[in-house]
Amino acid sequence: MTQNGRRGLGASLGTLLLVIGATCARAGDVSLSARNALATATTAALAWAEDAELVYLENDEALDAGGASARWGFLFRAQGGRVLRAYSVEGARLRHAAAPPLRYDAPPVRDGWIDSAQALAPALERAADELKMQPPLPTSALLSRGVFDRSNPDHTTWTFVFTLPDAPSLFVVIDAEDAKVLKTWRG
Amino acid sequence: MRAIRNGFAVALPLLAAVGALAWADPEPTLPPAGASAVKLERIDADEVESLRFLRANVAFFRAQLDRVREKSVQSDAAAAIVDPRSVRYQELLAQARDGRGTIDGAGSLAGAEALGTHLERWGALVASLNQVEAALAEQSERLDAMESDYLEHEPASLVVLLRVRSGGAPPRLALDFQTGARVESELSIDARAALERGGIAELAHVYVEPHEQTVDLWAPGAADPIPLAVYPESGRMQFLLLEWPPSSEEPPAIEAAAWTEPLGSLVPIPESEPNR
Repeated sequence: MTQNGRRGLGASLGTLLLVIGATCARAGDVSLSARNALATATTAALAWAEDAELVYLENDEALDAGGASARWGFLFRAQGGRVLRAYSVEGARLRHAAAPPLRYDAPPVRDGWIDSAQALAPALERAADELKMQPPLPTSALLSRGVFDRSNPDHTTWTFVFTLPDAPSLFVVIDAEDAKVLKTWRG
Repeated sequence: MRAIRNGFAVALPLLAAVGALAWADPEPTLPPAGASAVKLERIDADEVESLRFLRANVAFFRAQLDRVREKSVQSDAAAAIVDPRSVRYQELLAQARDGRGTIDGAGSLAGAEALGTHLERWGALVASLNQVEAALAEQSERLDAMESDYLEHEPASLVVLLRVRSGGAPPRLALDFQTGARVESELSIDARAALERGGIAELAHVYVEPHEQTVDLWAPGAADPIPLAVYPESGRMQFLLLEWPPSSEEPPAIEAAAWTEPLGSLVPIPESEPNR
């Protein structure tokens, strides 16, 4: 290797290390969709219990227009629901893990649920129809099963909550398999 | 520069040797004590708020899940010893029901009796109505008969007239018919004046039964009546013209003329001597 070649190799390695370092430094600030944050939570949950199953998730920080959030909260169950574990994933980093001080014996969500970005679009469209105006971004995005679709509780659903000033909140329930609007209500 | 060159020359074979060792021996070997340390990454436990919506509305979530959850209810189906008091209570309840049934039956009997009384009254009322209806029918038959008699058997009419031969006219006269009817005739001043001038006055005009009969004429102050035999005919007018005063014979007799005319005809007054 010539002297110039070695210089070039050293500069390239330095540049690569800088890029990697910068990327790692920004990882906590990156907003991810729910599915992109799921991998981190699932890895942690399987380390907690081999039979861990996801039963619920919601955004822990504000949603952006693309359905992403800087932090997502996940709730897993194990041993058939006898034990729960909650994880909060910020970017790709596990920010919080604890046994939640609540009882929530819901069934696990079905595999194949659409990502928050896909579910948000029809929710915004329906909210615009309901409110007759450009809706604000939803304050909450919830993925659950057996709670919000009484006619077919086996469905896994996305539920978006639009908080309105001086008016009841608008709830829009989206089928988490085909992105169809299942129901809306004010409350 | 040479030193750096020498350094790379030493370091690279060393790194290669370490890599070769790592590939050659998959079994990890413990590093010497104090060479490395394992640290648990600290993650936030309480400072991070997570699952806020779920925490705030967990009661709603659980309530919704309760609606669709299949609940298994365990119960012991094995036979157990029955408390004899429970059996006794059942018997008492059965007896109470029987007593109530008896009372209800008595009430039903009283109701039946009342119903029977009502039915009897109803039957009596119906019988009375039938009697009334029968009486009305009989009355209707009688009316029909009377109407038939009237239409088929025209009544007879009797006209009693008076003429004065001498003296004054009597102030009043009375006639008794066989039917019990009595006609009292008081002559007016004009009638008496007409009689005194030789005229005729009507004492009575009545309908009588069309058969032979006697009419009693009562004169003023007379102790007995003067019988007058008449023969009224159906559908005809019987005229009886009396001549006043009667004879002084004992019993007194009166001269009279009698004749008949069809109903509604003009009445001619006979000029001949009356029959006695």
